[in-house]
Amino acid sequence: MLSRLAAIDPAPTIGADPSRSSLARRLRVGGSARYWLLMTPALALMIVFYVYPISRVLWISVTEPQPGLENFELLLTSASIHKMLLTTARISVLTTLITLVLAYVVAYALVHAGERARRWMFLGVIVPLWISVLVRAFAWFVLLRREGLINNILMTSGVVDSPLSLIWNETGVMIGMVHYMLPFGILPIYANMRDIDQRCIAAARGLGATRSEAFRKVFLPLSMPGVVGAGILVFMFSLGFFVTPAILGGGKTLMIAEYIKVQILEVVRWGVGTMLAATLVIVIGALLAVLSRFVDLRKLFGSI
Amino acid sequence: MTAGRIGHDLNVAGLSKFYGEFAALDDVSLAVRRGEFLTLLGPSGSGKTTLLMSIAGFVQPDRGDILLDQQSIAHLPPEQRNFGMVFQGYALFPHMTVFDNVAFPLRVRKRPTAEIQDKVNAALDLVQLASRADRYPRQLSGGQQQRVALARAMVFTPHLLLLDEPLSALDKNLRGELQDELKRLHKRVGLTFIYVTHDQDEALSMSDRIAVMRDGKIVQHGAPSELYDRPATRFVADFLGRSNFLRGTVDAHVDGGFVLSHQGAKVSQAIGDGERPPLGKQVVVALRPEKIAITADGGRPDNLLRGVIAEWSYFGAQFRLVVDTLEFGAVAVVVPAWKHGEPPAAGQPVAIGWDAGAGTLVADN
Ligand SMILES: Nc1ncnc2c1ncn2[C@@H]1O[C@H](COP(=O)(O)OP(=O)(O)OP(=O)(O)O)[C@@H](O)[C@H]1O
Ligand SMILES: [Mg+2]
Repeated sequence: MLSRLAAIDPAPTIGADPSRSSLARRLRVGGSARYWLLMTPALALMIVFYVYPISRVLWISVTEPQPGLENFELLLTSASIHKMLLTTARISVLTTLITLVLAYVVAYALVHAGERARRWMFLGVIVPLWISVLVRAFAWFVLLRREGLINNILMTSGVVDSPLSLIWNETGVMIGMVHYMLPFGILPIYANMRDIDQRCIAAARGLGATRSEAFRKVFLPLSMPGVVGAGILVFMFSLGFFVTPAILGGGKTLMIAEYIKVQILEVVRWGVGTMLAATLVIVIGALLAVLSRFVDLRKLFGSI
Repeated sequence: MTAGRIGHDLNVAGLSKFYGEFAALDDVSLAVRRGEFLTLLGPSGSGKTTLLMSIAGFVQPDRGDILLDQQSIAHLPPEQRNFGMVFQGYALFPHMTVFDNVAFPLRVRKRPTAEIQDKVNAALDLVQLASRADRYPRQLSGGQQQRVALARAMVFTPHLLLLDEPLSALDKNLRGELQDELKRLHKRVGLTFIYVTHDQDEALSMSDRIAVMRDGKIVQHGAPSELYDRPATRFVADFLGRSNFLRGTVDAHVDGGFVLSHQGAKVSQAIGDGERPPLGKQVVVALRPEKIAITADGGRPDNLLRGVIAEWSYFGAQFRLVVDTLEFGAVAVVVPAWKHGEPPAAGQPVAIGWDAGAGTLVADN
C-alpha cells in the first residue's frame, strides 16, 4: 500500500505524507489499547522474572516446613539470626554514613571544578561502575591482605610493627562496600548540588555570612534532599549486598544475603532462607515508601 | 568607619578588571555621595555587573582602589563590607521563610532575638509584606520576592545598597509600581543606593545621578536632565532617549555659537560655556526629536528646514513623524498630539524648525 501511494504521488513531502498520517490516525484509535499493547512485553517480563519468583519466595516462607508464621517467629527468637541482623544493620549504617561523607566531598568538588577537570573527575566516578563487583572485591583482597600492598607499605615505612588485619573482618567488608557504593552516593548528591543557585551563596556572603557560615546555613541545608536520597539508596543496596561481604568478610562476617545463601544451599532450610528474603524485600519496600515522601524517586533513579 | 550614621560615600578610583586580555573594567573612577541614588546604565556587557560586584567584593579588581568614607575596602571580603545587595533574580534562600530570609543578616551578626524580631517586622512593614512573614519564597509572586530581597538587603542598615537590575524580571505595570516604591523607600531611609539597569526610562526617572557605561568605561555621568540635555557623545545621546544626528562642517563662528553647513543648508548651533570648534572641522550635533517643531506659519525658529512627511505614527499623547529633508535625510520629529490638530498625512510637505540652543554638540563616538 505504501509503494502504491508513493507511485501515485512521486514526491510526497514529509509533513503531508498521506500514508503516514492515516497510519498515525489508525494507531491513535483506541490510544489506551495501544498503550497496553506496547506495555505487554515489559509487563510479562516483570511478572515472569520478578513478581512470580518473589511471590513464590513469600509463599515458601509461610508454608515450609509446615504452613504458619513460625519461620517469622525466628526473627524474634533465634540468637544467630539476631546476631546476623545486627551485623547487617551495623555494616549497612556505617557504610552508608562513610559513603555519604566521602560522596559529599567528591560531589562538592565536582560542582565547583572547572569544565575540564569536571569531565576527568566524572570519568573517575563512572569507570568503576563498569568493572565487575567481583573483580573489585578481589582487587581489594590483593591490596588489603596481610602481605598486601598496603600492609607492605605500612610495614616498610615503619608506621606499624605487625600487619593490620584489614580483611576477613568488618573493616574489610566496609572498605569494599564503600568503594562500590560511592558512585551511587555521588551522583544523586551531585545532581542536587548542581541545581543550587550559586547566587544564594554569594548573597549569604554579601549579607555578612563568612565562608563557613554560608556553607552551613545555606549550601548544606539546600543540598540535604540529595543527601537523604543518596543515603536511602546506598543503605538499601548495602542491606542486600552479597559479593563483597562474601569475599572480604571471609565467612566470618555474615550479612543477610550470605546468610540466606547458606540457609538455602548449605543447610537446606528453605523456610528460613525465604523468610529472611521476604523480610529484606519488605524492609526495602518500606524504606522506598518513606523515601518517596522526601524526594522525587523518578529523579533519583535518573529518569526525567 | 563611622557607625550609626546612615548613608556613606564611596569612591572608586582607577578600577580595572581583566579577563585574560579583555578589560571588563577599564580605569573606572566614580564618586558616589552620601544618600545618593546613583544608577549605572549601559548596554549588555558594558561592565555594570562587574563594577557592582567589585564594589560588593565578589570580584577582585586587578588595579585601582575602592574607598568607603575615605578608607580603602578593596582588601575586605564581602561579608566585612557591610553592603546590602539585591541580586538579579533576588537569590532568596528557598529553604527559609520570608521572616528567616530577612532575619539572616541579623542572625549572622549575632544580634539579640528581641532586636531581630523588631527589625525584621519593621523591614517587612516597610515593604508591606508583614502578612507573608511565614511563607516560603516559592509561594510569593515575583514582585513580592523582589520586596523580600529588598527588605533583607536593608534590614541591617548597610553602608550601601547595591541593586543589580532588581526589576528586570517583572512585567511592565509591576515594574512601574515598584520603581515608585523604591524611590519612596530611598527618600525615607536615606541610604546610599547604587542601582544597575539597562532600562533608560528607569534610569531617568529614579536616579539622582546616572553614570553611563560602555566597554568597561564610564563615558559620562551627571544628573539625568544633564545627561539627557547635554550628552557628551553620540553614544550617550543615542542610548538615553532618541536623537537625530546632524553632521556638517563648521562654517562660521558667531556670537555664542557657530554655523554648521551641510549640502548648502546652514544650521546655527549655540555653544554653552565650552570652546567653539575650529573652522572647517567636521562636527556632529545631536538634536532631540521633541525639540523640533512643525512650523506651519507664525513662529520664527533659528533654524528652518523643508521636507516631506515620510511616515508617522500615533502614540496617544504624541505623533512621531519621520520627515524626509533634502539636506539631512530622515529627521525624526515628535509633536504633542493636542497641538497638531489634524493628523498628519504621508507625503505632506512641511517645514520643521528648532532653536540654536536645542541641539548639542557631541563627540562622534
Ligand atoms: N567571569 C568572567 N570571565 C570572563 N569574562 C567575563 C566574566 N564576567 C564578565 N565577563 C565579561 O565582562 C564583560 C562585562 O560583563 P558584565 O556582566 O559586567 O556586563 P553587564 O554590563 O552587567 O551586562 P548585562 O546588562 O548583560 O548584565 C562582558 O563582556 C562579559 O562577557
Ligand atoms: Mg549584569
